[in-house]
Amino acid sequence: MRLPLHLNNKLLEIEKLSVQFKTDSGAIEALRPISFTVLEGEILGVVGESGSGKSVTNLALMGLLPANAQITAQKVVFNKNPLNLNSQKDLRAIRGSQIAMIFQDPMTALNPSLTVGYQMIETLRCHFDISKKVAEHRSLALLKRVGISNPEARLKSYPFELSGGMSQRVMIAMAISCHPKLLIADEPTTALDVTIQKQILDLLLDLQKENKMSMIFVSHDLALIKKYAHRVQVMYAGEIVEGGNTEEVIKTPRHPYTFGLLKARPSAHEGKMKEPLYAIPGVVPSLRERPSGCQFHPRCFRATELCKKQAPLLTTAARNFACHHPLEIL
Amino acid sequence: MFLFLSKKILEVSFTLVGITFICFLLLRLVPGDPVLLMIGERNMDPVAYAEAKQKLGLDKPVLVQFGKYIEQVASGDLGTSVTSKTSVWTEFKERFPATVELSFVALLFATLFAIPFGVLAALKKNTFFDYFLMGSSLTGYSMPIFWWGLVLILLFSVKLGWTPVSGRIAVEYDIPLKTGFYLLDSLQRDVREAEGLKPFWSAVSHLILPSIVLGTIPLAVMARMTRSSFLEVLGEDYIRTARAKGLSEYRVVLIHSFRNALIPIVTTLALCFGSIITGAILTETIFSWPGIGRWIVTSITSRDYPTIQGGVLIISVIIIITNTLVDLLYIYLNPRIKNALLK
Amino acid sequence: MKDFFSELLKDIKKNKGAFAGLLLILIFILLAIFAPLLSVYAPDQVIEGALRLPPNSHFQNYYFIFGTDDIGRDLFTRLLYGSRISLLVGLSVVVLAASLGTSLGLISGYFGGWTDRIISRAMDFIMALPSVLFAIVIVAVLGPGLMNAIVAVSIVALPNFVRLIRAQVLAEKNKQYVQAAQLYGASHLRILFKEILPNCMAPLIVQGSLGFSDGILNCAALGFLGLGAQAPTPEWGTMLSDARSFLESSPWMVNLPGLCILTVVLSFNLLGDGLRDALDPRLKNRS
Repeated sequence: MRLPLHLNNKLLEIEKLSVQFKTDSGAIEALRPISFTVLEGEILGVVGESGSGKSVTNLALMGLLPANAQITAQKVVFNKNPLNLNSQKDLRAIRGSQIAMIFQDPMTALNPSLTVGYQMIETLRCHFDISKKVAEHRSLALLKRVGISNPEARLKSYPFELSGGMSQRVMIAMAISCHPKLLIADEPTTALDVTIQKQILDLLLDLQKENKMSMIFVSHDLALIKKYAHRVQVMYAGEIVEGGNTEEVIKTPRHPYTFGLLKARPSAHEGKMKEPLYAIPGVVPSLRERPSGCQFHPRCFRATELCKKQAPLLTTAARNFACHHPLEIL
Repeated sequence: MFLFLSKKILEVSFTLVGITFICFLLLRLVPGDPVLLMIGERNMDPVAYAEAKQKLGLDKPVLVQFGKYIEQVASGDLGTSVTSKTSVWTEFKERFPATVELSFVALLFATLFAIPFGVLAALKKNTFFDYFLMGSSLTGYSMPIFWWGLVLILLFSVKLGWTPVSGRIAVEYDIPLKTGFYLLDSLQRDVREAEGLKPFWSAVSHLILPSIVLGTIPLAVMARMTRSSFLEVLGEDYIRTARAKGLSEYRVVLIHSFRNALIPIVTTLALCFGSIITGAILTETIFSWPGIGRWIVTSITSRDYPTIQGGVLIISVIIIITNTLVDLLYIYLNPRIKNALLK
Repeated sequence: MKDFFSELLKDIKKNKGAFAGLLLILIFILLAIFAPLLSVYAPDQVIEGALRLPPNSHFQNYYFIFGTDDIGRDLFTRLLYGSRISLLVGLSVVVLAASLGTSLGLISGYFGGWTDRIISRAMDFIMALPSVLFAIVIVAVLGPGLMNAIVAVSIVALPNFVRLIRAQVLAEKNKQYVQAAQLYGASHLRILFKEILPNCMAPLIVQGSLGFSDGILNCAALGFLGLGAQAPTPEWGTMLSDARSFLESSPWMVNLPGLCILTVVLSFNLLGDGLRDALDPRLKNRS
C-alpha cells in the first residue's frame, strides 16, 4: 500500500527512546535507543518476535509501563507539542483522547464487572463534557459503526457475554470514540479466529481513512503488514533493524533478519509443499544476557567476526537498515 | 439456580446433622455419668436418678437417643442449664445481642481501616509505607488478643482513664431492653427524654476497647487480603485499558479495580464473621462482656454440660448459616457466576 | 533435597522479614535449650518475701532482671522455661497435625471415592466450628490440661494439612512420572511416599511454619481461659491469666509473658510468609 503523497507531516517524532527495567537481579535493557516517526494519516507497521520491544515502545508512549521501568528519550514531539514520557500528567492529557490503543486479547481487556455501555459512556464523558444521555446516544452510534448488531442490547451486556470478535469491536469503538489522532493497535487480531481477523482489520482500515488518523499496527504476521501498512519497521531485541516503505522492504529486504522472517512465512512456502517450512535458527536472545556486537549475529547466516565485535548503525535514509553485510538488491 | 440452591441446602443440612451428632456425642463422651451431668449432682436420691434416666431416654439404644435428641432440638428445646435451671435457649437469647453488637462494631472498625490501608499499601507497593503497614498487620495477626486487651485496658482505662474497664453500659443507667442492642435501646424516646444522650455515649465508650481488641485480627487479615487482591487486579489487562482510555487514577482505582478486588475481600470478611466467635470468647472474658463467648467459658468452668452442648450447637448453626449466606453473596457480586446460574 | 534446603536458605536470607523471624526462632530455641544454664533459679523456686518486685530489682542478695511474681518466683526464669513449653507445644501440634493430616490427605487424594468423601466431610465439620470453640469442646470432654490442649489444637489444625496435601496429590497424581511408576508396578505406598510426598514438601513446610504459630497462640489462649496448662506450670498464657488481677499494680507480670507470646508467634509468621514467597513459584515469578 502506498502512502498518499500529500500526507507527510510528522505526527509523532521520537528520538533516542530507551527503556530499562530495574529488577532485583540487575537492569534489563528492554529498548535500546530507537528513533522513528509516524506521519499524519499513515499506517506504520511494526514487526518482530515477542521480546523485540514492539509492545514496550507503545506502552512507553502511553505511559502504561510498570513502575520499575525507566524511560529516557532525547526528544518526543506529538502533534507539534513536546511530550514528556515520564510525566503521567502530560500523558493523561493525551491518553484516550489523542492517542488511543487497542490490545491483543479483547477478552481480558474489558472490565468483567462493568457493562459495555458503562465502559463506553465513561470513556466519552471522561473526555467530553456531555450528559449521560448524549454519551449513550453516541455509544449506540459507535457500536453500530463498528458493525455490532442489536447495539441497544449490547450496551447492557457484560463483556463475558460477548465473543472475542465482538469484544474487539467494542474496544475499537471505545478507542475511536474520542477521535484520536493516533491509534495504536497492538496485535489486534492475534487472539481471534482467522475469519474474524480480516473483518476486524478491514474495519480498522476503513475507520483510519474515515477519521484521517494515523495508526501504529503491531503484528508478527508479515502478510498482514504487507496488506495494511504503508511503512514498516522491523524490530529485534529492542532495536530497529530495518525500515522503509512496506513494498520495498518486503520485495527487497536488506537485513538478514527481515529476510528470515519473510522466508519463514507460510505463504512464502506455497507450492513447495515437499520442503519443510523455513525457521530462523536459534531463539531471540535473553535481554539479561545480550550477545556482543550485532544482536542478531548468533542466528545470522551472513555473520562475520566484525558482527561479533561491533554493533552496526542504522542507516539514515528513509529506507534504512542496520547491518554490516546487507543483502544485495537483486 | 434451583439446582444449585438445592445442592447447597443438601450440603448444609448434611453438615448441620453432623454438628448435631457431635454435640449429641459430647455429653456421652464426657467422663462421668451423663445423668448426673445433665441434671446436676446435688440432692440426688436413687429414685429420682432412675426417673431422670428414663426421662432423658438414656436407657434406650444410642441411635434412638440421637433421633430423640434431633426431635427435641427441632422443637426448640436445647436442654436446661444445670447451674441456673433456666432453658439454654432463654439464656442464649439474653446474651446473643451483646455478642452481635460487639462483633458488628468490631468488624465495622476492621473494615473501615483495613480496606483503605490495603489499597494504599497496594498502590504504594514496596515503599516504606507498604512495609510499615504490612509489618503492622502481620504483628496484629500474630497478636495474642487476650494480652492486647489487657494492654489497652492498662493504657486507656487505668493510666488515662478514658474508657471504662468492663461491661456494656455504666451501672447508673437502667434502660429498658427492646432490641438487646444497647446502641439502639439507649436511643429510645423515653430514655432520651429522661437521660438525654448520656446512656448512648456510655454504651459507645464501653464498646470502644472491646471492638478494637476483637477487630484487630480481622483488620490485619483483611488489610493483607485487600493488598494482595488489589495488586492482582491492578495487573489485569482491563486496568491497562482503563488507564489507556485516559481515565483518572481515582476512577481506575475506585471504579475499575475496587469492584473486582472486592470479591475476595468480602469473602475474607465473611470468613472473619465465622471466626470472630473465637475472638469473642477471649474478648468477652477480658472485658466481662455479657455475651455468648463468656457464657460458654463460664459454663465450662462450672461444668454445665447441657449449656455447653446447647451453646455449641447454636453457635455452629449460626456460623454455618452465615458461611452459606456468604457463598450466595459471592455469587451475587460476581456477574459471571450469577448469569451462569440464572440460565 | 540438600540443594532444596540450601536454595531455600538463600531465598530466606534475601527476605529481611523471614530472616529476622528465623533468627528470633533460633534465639528462642537456644534460650529454651540452655534455660538451666542461663538462670540461677528454678522455675518454681519461691524466694521468701520477694513479692511482685518490678524488673531490675535487688532483694537481699538476689537480683531479678524481669522482677518477680505474686508468690516470689523469678519471672525471667519462668519465662525462660515457658519458652520450652511454647516451642514444645508448637512442635507437638505441628508434628501431630502434619503427620496425621498428611496421611489422611494422601489417602484421601490418592484413593478418592468414598474414603475421600468421608475424610473431606469430616474436615468440613472441623472447619465449620471456630478453632477455639472446637478446642473448648474437646477440652470439655477430655478435661483441662496441657496435653489435652495440645490434642485439641492439633485436631483444629488438622484440616489445613489434609486439604493442602489432598490438593497436591490430586495435582500430582495424573502427572506422567506417577503414571510411569504405576506402570512399573510400584506399590501404592511406594508411589505415595517416594513419588508424591516429596513434591508436597514445599507447601508442607510453609503450612508447618504457620501451624507452629497457630498452635502456640491457640494453646496460650486456652491457657489464658484456664483450659490449658494448669497453675504451677510456667506456660505463658497461664502465667498471663494468673497475673490479671495484678494488672494495675504489677503490669510487668502481664506484659512480659504477652510480649513473649507475640514475639514467638510473629517470628513463625514472618518465617512462614517468607517461605511461602520463596516456595510459591507463582509469586516468585511475579515479583
